[in-house]
Amino acid sequence: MLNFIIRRLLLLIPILIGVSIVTFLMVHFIPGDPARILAGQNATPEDVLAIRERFGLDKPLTVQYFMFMKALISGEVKSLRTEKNVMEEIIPRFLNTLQLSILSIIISASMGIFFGIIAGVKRNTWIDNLVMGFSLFGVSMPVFWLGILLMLLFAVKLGWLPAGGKGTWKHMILPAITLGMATSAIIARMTRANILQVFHQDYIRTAYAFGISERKIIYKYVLKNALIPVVTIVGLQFGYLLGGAVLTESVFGWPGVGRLIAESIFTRDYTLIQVGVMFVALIFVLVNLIVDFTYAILDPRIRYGQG
Amino acid sequence: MRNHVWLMVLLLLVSSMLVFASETPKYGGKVIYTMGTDAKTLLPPHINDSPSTQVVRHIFEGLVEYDSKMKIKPLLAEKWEISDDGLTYTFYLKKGVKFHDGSDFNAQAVKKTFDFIINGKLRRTSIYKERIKEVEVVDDYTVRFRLNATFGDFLNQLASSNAAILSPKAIEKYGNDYGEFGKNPVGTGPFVFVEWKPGERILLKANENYWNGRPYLDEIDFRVTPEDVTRALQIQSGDAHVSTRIPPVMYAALQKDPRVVVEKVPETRVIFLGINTIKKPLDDVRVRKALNYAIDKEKICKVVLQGMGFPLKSPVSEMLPGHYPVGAYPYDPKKAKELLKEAGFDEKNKLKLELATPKGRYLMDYQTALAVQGMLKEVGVEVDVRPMEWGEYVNYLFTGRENAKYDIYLLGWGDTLASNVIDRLFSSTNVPPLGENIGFYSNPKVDELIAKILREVNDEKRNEYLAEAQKIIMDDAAWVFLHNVQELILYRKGLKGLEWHPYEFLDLRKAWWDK
Amino acid sequence: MGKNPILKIEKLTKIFKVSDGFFKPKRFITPVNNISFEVREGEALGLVGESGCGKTTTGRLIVKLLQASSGKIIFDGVDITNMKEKEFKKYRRDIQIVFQDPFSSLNPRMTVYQILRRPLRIFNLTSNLDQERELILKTLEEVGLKEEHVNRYPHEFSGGQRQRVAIARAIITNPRFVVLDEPTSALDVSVQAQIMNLLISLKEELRLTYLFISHDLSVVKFISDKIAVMYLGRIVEQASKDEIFNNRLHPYTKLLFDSIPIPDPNVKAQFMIDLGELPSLTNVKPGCPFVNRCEYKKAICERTTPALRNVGNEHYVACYLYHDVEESS
Ligand SMILES: Nc1ncnc2c1ncn2[C@@H]1O[C@H](COP(=O)(O)OP(=O)(O)O)[C@@H](O)[C@H]1O
Ligand code: SF4
Ligand SMILES: [Mg+2]
Repeated sequence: MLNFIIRRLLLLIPILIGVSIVTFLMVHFIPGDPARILAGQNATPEDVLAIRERFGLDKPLTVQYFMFMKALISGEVKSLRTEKNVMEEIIPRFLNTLQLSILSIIISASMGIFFGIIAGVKRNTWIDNLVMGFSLFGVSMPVFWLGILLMLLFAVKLGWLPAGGKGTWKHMILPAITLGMATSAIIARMTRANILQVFHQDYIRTAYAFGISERKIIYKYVLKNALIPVVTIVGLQFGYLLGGAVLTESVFGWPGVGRLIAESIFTRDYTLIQVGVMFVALIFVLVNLIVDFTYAILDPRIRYGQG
Repeated sequence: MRNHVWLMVLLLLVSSMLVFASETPKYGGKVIYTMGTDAKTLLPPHINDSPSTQVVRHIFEGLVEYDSKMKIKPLLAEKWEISDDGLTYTFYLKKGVKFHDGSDFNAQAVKKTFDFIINGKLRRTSIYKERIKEVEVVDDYTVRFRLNATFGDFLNQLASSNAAILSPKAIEKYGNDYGEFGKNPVGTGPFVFVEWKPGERILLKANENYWNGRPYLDEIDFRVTPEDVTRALQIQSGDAHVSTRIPPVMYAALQKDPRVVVEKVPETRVIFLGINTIKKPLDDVRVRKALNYAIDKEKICKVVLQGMGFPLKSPVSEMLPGHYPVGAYPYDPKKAKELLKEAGFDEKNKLKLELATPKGRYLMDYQTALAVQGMLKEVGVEVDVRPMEWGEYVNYLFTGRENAKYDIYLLGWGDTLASNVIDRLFSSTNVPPLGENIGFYSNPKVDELIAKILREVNDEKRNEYLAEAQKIIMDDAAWVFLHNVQELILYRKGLKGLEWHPYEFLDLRKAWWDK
Repeated sequence: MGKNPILKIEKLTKIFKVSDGFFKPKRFITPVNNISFEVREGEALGLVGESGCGKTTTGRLIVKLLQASSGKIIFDGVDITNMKEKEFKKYRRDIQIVFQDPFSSLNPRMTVYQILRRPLRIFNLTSNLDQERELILKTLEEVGLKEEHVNRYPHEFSGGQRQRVAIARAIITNPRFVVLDEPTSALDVSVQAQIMNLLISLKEELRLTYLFISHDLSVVKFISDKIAVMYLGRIVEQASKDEIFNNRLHPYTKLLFDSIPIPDPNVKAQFMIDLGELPSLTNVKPGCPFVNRCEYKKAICERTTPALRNVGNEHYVACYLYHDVEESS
């Protein structure tokens, strides 16, 4: 197992170098001159030239790439827009995203698993249809509308919860629900599908053939086996959430990392985009690693010792 | 006619503020100001965006400032003298002013600030470097600026938040680390910087030792919420207290909400269709005029903008001193067709144009482009609307003379100076890739006038030259002149003493809570 | 070999209601349609037929994984058809089932020990842990596994070994009757014979009675004393193994037997092709189920369903070529 973890961690290095090259190229191929955009309207030609020179944007691409990598290794990449160290921008935003993602995944995993179990156990009944209908609604509801509707109801009309922003735990509830809506729907569907699949396994039939009560079969055999793959789905979804959700973060004014990266794309803040994407990629890969690891612990079929 | 109505609205607004002012303001309370975008930096000479300006104007002060009608008034300078040759400005400074870090405000601080700007590589270095030859300390409270050449807008340039006076201690401390400096603003203003959580909030607290007396509010909390609708909801729910750029669709509903006040206020921003005047057949003034006649600006303001704009009568916003109301091109599709015919276009030989536009940058920008497309179709011009993301759009427009493939393009321009509008957008020397005269407009008479305007120190004469330039530009149909935008500001009932400045600054320095 | 039937099936029918979608009308599937047969103690009855003809459903009805729609299941003289679970529980240890797919039939999260311990605990078959362990090890040995296997998880075994575990689980309760639902179909040909041999020797040693289900006649032949041929939810012919091999009567049986594959997996593929396409089990119409594919069909065959009749020598057949008695239902 240790071997496996070390190998996976080593694999991160080529992944990150790859990501750095790809984002570097993509960033430089998006049309738009960052100097021009950073200078803003009403800038003098000298301003534009000065910005170009200051950030080495006038140098050849390969030189710029190596300048960037050098700065990255010494941890001194600066945002073109704010001229602060990019990590100083990214880390607090990421922590905000992390907070929201944790609450959101708790809400969506518990709701998703709960309803998924109900639908799976009561498969092909009206309850199942109702839950699956809701989940369809959940995946297809646009974040913008859901967010605005929730705020209209809970903030403007009822005054129970704040309308966006960050502050107390209360500020997190509506964005976490909005963010978790689609996720919980996905989890519910996967949970249900897994339960159905396990119900079709002969070892469940065997359990019935031994006369074990339905209740016990569901709790002891079906759920235990059906929920293992759900761990992966929840983990993956969590990984996605950690990349930041631009729409939710914008609608609720949540200062997360998704919004930060989106804004830096709009302002062509090259360095921040590159480090931001690399950072998110790193987190995503790490979360995946943890998920795989957890899965291995939960499921005796998977062993990473050799091979 | 439109102009008068507008002035009356403005008068009413100003007088209503006077009414507020006549009540006795109360001390205490906090205002949460929710804005759409976070500040980029709080280092004044490094700022080129309005959110940063909005925050910084509460922390820093310059030698002079604008009043809400954009007239210059004293601030840290009590008075000033301009030498007869217009090359020397002498400022007599206020005494007893201290920076938030305790250091003294004096002539040395002024000199240090401008030396820092001129010798630095700040985003606004060039505009000051271009003008100022040197700053000289006459005595502790007298400072003299020597200019390279006469410059009529020098005081205006000093009224900009870019020219705010910085703490000499802070300059020592941060030097050219603009990133660090931008996070640690130290000024002389009524509010003191407390903390900045990027993307989330900037917190200011009252300056207890402010030279003009402590401000009424205890705190101003600038919060960031990109979504316009959400910001309106935050004011309605009381989670925030004041905001700008409220979506016009919510106007009616907000007017009915007794918890809030919604106001329509003017900006200095003009929206126009730039024309590539060196590209055939747009180099033909008849074609350009035809385009102007073909568009019903009133209708665009009413229907597309839902009342949040009024037609342009000159390239310069009527909110700016120096504006001269040349008069809008009337909506006259018949005349447009005639002119097009003269230029050789008719049903058989249709004029085909591409209209590039950003999407979501300005109020209803893309929708305006679509309306223009419809109106031009009426006079037989086929328009292909091409929406673009802002960065890509900027790239598309700033390619330079050889590569300029665009025909017409929708753009907005907000400014504090009439002279700047004329110089930046219509001088034949300010062309892309670095200048902003994207349409390559060129008229020797205008160039000559620009030179005069920039040099002239006498306001009356300057305004004459400005008027002349506006007339020529209008007559040359350098743009398709569309509209001046307005916006909605929204705040909690009970919040008093707000002052809106058309250059998109909502002044909370004298705000107070009546609760 | 005892003479009394341990299992008696009388006019057993199973109807499934299926819905293809939210807005489509419900359909009915009748995979088991009015079938009757007996299995005597110590006997192995082979149930053959093409895939989808209802064999598995029959097996599951017997172990009461499914509830019969009508008809009777009599086990050891007792009608268990509609017996309540509580009452039926004491029969559960006597009637065991082994499934086709050894990869699905073992809980992946349990070790062999845990899997085998479960029936012991459910039926209170051992009184202490030593006894339990001893019995488990003994049973493992009986199915050809070793003590070292006891703490392994199913995924650590090959298909044949897994099927041995499944068999061990079935026999550990010391049952009297075992339904073997295609126990070798999922295994490699080389392993199939080993498992068949194991099943045969277990039957002798433990004096078991089998219902052996398979679509593969060559396998059924190997183990069965009697053979029943199933087609579209019905039993069309039934007789002792020798009788049926020497004197097959029903046109379907003939077709089926003629296509017995030589033990070469490549030839096997022909099996289905030769038989043509299987008609649907939905909305069963009256008439002989085989009528659409029968080259001997008569007028009556379209109208009524032939009953399963003894044509002598305990040879039963449902075809109007051999009798012309109409079935009552
Ligand atoms: N639970 C069920 N619901 C609906 N149809 C079923 C169900 N179980 C089996 N069937 C259908 O009954 C028919 C016979 O299936 P089965 O008994 O598995 O056949 P065999 O074992 O002979 O291949 C098939 O068409 C199958 O689709
Ligand atoms: S009953 Fe008729 S159709 Fe059916 S098998 Fe016999 S002859 Fe053929
Ligand atoms: Mg089957």
